[in-house]
Amino acid sequence: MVVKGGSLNEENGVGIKHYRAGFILFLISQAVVFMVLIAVRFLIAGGKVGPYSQPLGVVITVVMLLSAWLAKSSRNAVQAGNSEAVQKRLASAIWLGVLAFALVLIMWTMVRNDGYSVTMPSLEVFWVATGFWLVYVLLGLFVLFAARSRGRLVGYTPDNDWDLEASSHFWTFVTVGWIALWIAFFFL
Amino acid sequence: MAQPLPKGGAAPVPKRVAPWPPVLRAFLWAGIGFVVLAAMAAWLDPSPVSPYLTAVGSVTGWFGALIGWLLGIGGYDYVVRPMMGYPTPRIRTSGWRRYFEYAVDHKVIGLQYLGASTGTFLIAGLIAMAMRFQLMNYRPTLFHYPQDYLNAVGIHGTLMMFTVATVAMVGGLGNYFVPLMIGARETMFPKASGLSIWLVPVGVLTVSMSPLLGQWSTGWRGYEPLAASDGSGLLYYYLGVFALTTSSLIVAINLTSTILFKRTKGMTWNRLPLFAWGILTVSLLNIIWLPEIQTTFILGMMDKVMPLNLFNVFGQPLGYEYLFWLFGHPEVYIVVIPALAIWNEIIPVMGRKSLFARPIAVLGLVFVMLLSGMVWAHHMFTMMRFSEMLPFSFFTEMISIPTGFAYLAVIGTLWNSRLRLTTPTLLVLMSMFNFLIGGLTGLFLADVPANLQLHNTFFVVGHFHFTIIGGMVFSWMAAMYYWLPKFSGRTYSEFWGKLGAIWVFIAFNATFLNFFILGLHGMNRWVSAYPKYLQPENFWTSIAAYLLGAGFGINIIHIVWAWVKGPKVKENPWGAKTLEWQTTSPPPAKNFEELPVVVGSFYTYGKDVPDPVMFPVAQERAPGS
Amino acid sequence: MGSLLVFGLLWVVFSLLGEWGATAWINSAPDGTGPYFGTASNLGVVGAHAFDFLVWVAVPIFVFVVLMIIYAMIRFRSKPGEKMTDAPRQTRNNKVFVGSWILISIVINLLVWLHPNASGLEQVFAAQLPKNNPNPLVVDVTARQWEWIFSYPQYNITQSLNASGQDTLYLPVNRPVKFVLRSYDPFHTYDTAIDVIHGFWIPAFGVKYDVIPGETRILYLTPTELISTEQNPMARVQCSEVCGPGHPYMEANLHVVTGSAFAAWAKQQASGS
Repeated sequence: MVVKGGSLNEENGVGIKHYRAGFILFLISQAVVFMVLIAVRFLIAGGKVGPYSQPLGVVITVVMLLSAWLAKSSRNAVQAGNSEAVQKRLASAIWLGVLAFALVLIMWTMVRNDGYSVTMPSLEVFWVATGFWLVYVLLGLFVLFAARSRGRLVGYTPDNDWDLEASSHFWTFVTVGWIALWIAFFFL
Repeated sequence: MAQPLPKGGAAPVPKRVAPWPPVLRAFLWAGIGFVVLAAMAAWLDPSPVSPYLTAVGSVTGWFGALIGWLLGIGGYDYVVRPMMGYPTPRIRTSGWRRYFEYAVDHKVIGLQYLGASTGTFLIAGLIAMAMRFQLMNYRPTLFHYPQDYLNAVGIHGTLMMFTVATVAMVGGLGNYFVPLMIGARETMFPKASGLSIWLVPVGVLTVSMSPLLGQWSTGWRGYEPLAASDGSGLLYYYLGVFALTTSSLIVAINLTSTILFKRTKGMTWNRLPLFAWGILTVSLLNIIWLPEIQTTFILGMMDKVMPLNLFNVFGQPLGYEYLFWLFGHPEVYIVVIPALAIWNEIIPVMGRKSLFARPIAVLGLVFVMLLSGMVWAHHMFTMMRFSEMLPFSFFTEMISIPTGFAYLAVIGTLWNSRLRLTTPTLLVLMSMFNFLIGGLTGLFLADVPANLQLHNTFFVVGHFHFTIIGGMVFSWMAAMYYWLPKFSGRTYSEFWGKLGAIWVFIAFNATFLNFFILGLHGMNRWVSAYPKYLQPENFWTSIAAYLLGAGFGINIIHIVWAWVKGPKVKENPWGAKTLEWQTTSPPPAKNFEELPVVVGSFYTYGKDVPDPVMFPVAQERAPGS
Repeated sequence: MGSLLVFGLLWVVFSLLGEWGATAWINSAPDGTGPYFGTASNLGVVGAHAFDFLVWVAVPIFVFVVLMIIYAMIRFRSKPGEKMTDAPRQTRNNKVFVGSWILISIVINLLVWLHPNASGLEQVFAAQLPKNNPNPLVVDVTARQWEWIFSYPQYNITQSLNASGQDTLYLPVNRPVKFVLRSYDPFHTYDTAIDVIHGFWIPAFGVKYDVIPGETRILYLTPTELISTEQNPMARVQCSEVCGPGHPYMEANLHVVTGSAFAAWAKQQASGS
């Protein structure tokens, strides 16, 4: 096994691409969580779409896509050697993530204020699934924050930005998770 | 999940930061975490009945405690700060203290897992003894109320399932031996692995202390809708299992990527040791099904904490059961696949004979893995409508075919072998006997008309104890005796080993064969009081159960004695060919002085079969040898 | 080859012995239905036949593996103190053995799936068809924490109780019974939000079926023997699915009586309540 392009050439020849594969295993396992949530949505509420705000759903999707793109593009900045842009883009990604988090909370409050019963089946599954997602957002925000801090203290080089890459992959995963929930809960 | 990247140059390594033992610090931080988050919950969501600790507070507080515990044990110094770019402090590499601290050496972690599993096995075993004491009498004696007894059943089952059966052979033996067997110096994600073991004590403590919150009576499955109206202790059942399964999930990801990417030169898939194959298939099952059950349990928890109707009559009363068994049946194979792999690891060595039909043995493991996701609903024959019964019974019968491949390989290997009847051999053969009974009684349970009578009786209890104790625990013991010289460089006493094995075997069969008869006689599960006519049989079952408990005690004491004080033994006493035996015992910090190169099969014996392992550098240095 | 012959011979002998023993065991039961014990209803008999058939299937398999283990321990063991040497014959594959093993295990599995499983289920399904159950006795079975309530709408009995006020189930022998399994009835108050699953099990009848909150399920069966809890404790109604702290005590007495005795009992119950 000869590793090309990895910077971690040890005796076993393990490189970044192998860490990446291991990390993808982790993401696969977490994708199961979203599959279960979507399955439960159909098990409990059938295909009913609950009375949650459709426009806000679109806004959150856009915000998350933008945030994920920023996190990803911070890696391009590493390739370009522009560590200032790395910091800036990560910071905007984090703040957009915070915004998405807040928007979900606002959506929750709106449903409550409209006077719907908490235990309406289509709402129950909505609380539960978006609540799960918010936990992932918190984790993702922490990981992005750590990646930013590491960039400041240690810095990334074009051939070794694994920590940044993992963080951005996780953030992309959170975004994809939202889109999956969004499609399942707002359209199907 | 940040990785230890080699820093440019040798950065100065700071002194250890912990001024006092990490476990104590972890307890303190856990306490702080609990109080802070529980107080926050009590402030945000006050309850008129209990001003200090609400149901929500006990859940959020638990997460605070979990985070505090993990940070305190070493997560803060060794994971979080380095992730942010601060240097990593030194990790203790010698002395007994390293077993009570954060570690990255897979051998230390493996032993930590084994210790945690064994300790929990004792706790849950003592609970089983108490249960058998209760069942000696048809009226309440030891457990005054049924919920006391039912809570004991639940804790026994949960601990045995999630801390012993799924952990001992994967987190314990898997962490210790997989890197050694595939010729790696360390695992792929040692840092995450070092934290994962410390989730086990959290889970065990949480589950065993759960009755303090309120007794629960659902047993280890936490069936809804009963769970929603049952005691609040269930919250800590969910959370404890969450901690334990997270631990197993990290092990699974770590060992899968280790097996995929850290094999030494020449370790092709065709040469990969059977045990590594077993761990690989189990880990794939874990990666898929553990998140599934975690999600289900968190849903159950939310259903309980909040006024939701997910799994009661307004939602889907059977929804939880389907989700539970979707995981629950693969879980059985998660328990048993490593055991099947161990049989085929030990028998060729002890018989000095090539492993028979190796590809079939591997295929068996893989097919069990693939089929295990399709059989789940056979746990629910009495719950489903009549029309759904036929298809599910089909896959249930079919899964016995790949399981049989493990027998095929062992039997083929035994034939014409030169079998050394050592304690490990004996235990493997006993395990085959027990698991055979477990499997054949499964034939009866898979038959729907008979299942309608046998379901939820002691017949089922006997069946799964035969598969899990008979299959997994006996194989675990076999593996412990087999690898004892590797762990410690010392060996056990053949006399006491055999005595212990025979004792446990007889007591086990005397106990659990009775369960089948009891079930047929109308003894149902989850009862602390039962009709009087069943008492004599239960009485003798309990006597046998005490003997079984004593037998496990004898074996544990013997293994610990041999580990510390047993006679010293040469490097490779069994003459095994796999890589773990090609280094010193116990193995050095980085496992091998020089990484071995594999040039042949580990399981081929016979005249003129060349050594499957090469050490090119060492052999070049000493060409005469 | 010699070992193979000896082993094969031993296997045949022990399997025959085992089958003989199993048959004797099965016939030793008073009604010849074996160790299944719950045969006092038409469904129980189906289960018992399946059970007995599976005993016959299991015996040769059990004998094969166990005999192999013991045979290997005696015939192929290396004597203590003997120098460790590799086995002289290193067979690493044997197409005939592997092929026939796989083939036989598939055939056995298909066989037991078809019979007794599918064939037995066919009998069970047939027994569930209303047209095969003429003039059934309707018993509304209500399961709640922690009590069985039996009512007989055809006889105006809303809750059948015995002299000491406990719920009790009376059935006439040889008449089809239609059990209507529910977790609520119109005569009591319930909190449906905390309804749980119960299991309606009569061990002597050899059958159980769960009571699911919010669902009504029908179970037809015909009692075939005159039994009562007093004389055979297997003849009882028992909850088989854990349903909370009262689960062990969720049982009720059962009496299967003659048609005329049942009529007398029903008359007395209807007037009494």
